[in-house]
Amino acid sequence: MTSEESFHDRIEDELAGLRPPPIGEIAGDALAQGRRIRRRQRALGVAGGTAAVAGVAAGALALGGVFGSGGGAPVGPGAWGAAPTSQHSSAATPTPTPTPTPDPTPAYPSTPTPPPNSSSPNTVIGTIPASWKPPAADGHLSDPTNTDGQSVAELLIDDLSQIGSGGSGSAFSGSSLAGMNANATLTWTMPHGSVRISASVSDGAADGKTPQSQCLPAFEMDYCAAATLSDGSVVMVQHNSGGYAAGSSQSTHNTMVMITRPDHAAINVVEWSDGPLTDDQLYKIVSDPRWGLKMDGSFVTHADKVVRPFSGG
Amino acid sequence: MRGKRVGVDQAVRDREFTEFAVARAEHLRRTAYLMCGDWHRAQDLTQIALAKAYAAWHRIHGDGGVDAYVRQIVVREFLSQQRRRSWHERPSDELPEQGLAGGQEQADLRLSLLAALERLSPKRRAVVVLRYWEDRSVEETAAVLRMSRSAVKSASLRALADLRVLLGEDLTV
Repeated sequence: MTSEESFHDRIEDELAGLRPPPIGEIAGDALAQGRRIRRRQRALGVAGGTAAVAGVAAGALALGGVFGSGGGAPVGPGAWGAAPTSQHSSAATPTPTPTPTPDPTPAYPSTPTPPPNSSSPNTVIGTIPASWKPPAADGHLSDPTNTDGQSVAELLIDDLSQIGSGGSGSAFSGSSLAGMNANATLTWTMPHGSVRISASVSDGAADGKTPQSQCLPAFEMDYCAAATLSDGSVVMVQHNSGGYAAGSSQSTHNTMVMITRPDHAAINVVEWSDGPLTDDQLYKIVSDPRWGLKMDGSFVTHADKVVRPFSGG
Repeated sequence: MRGKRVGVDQAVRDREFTEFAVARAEHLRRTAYLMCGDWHRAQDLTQIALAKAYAAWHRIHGDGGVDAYVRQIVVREFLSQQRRRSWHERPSDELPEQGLAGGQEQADLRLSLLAALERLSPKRRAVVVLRYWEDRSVEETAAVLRMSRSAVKSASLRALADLRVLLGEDLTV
């Protein structure tokens, strides 16, 4: 391929050389199928409205007990790269320099339900809680080393230990691209259930674009909130349903909280579950100032030893 | 009176939708084909997406979101089908060994870009198609695929690296 020939042009050329079957009456067929979908939606909408409200209320009650007020120790504002605790099972170990716990927000099911009037946008646009403060100022790394998947898993476990009521990590997977991205996914098992959770740290300036500080209502999601914090960090929250946890065929909720800091580090965490982790708890994870594309060398070495990647069959 | 109003609304909707579908169906089918590699399956994906767009027309029409909505349905439906198929086919997120072995020999085979695309995992293929065929931003791609921006960037880099190895040549995007 010559430098003048773009990916797009080359695809165009190759497609032009194919002989696809006639597209036929696809517009008419789609219209007829769309009418059937609409009829079904109307029928289900009338029958399902009452049941949905009851279901959300029951879920809120059930999940409220899992992480009720005072459910876990707060996250300490450690310096960038400060080594987290190493154990993979914990009982809500307190951090050396705890900060006051923000007021807990309701559990996941409190997500605003889209109004029944379907002429409104598909996505409910919310606001970032005032209790969400910017991450603590950066610190000093004595031995800066590229963050890898195991380090992300280790730090995620440490954060989970501090926000939850104790648990253990398993089924790790992860990868990294030096200076660009490091990510990990794991299962966090607590006495009350488990979540599949991913964390990722990346260079938010790699594509030269400003972070997305506004929600786009055209895209289908249940709930979205975004804001720029006082230090310039951009935060976004998204709730979706119908997504799949990695390795699972079960459709479930997923919640993503992402922050892009002024130093361009972009950290996001996504959990798939029926909602035992609140947005507040996920924000505590992403706002941990220890996240970075470089971490302390001793921490990375330790993580590489203790985190065993999962090899699914 | 109300029945007549509804009838007029539906007539307008049908006309607007049909104009959109006729204008965009061919491009949508090509996008679907790039992901699934099969024209008949691409036709099905396109029809499903258009039908869902018709059902949601009242809320997606008028804010320029129809194209984005339909594209999103095509991609998500494709990935959903892949997940259902995966119980049998077990696609890997990594390229098959024979696809990468023997760099010079591989270059001599001169794979077409379309054939090389088919060797990517479904998710990476979707990222490449959205980013470089549909010319979507990282943010838009992330929203469609329900991925983080960083995951999109990482998948994009890896997919391009895989394509370069498969094609045995430079790849300009």
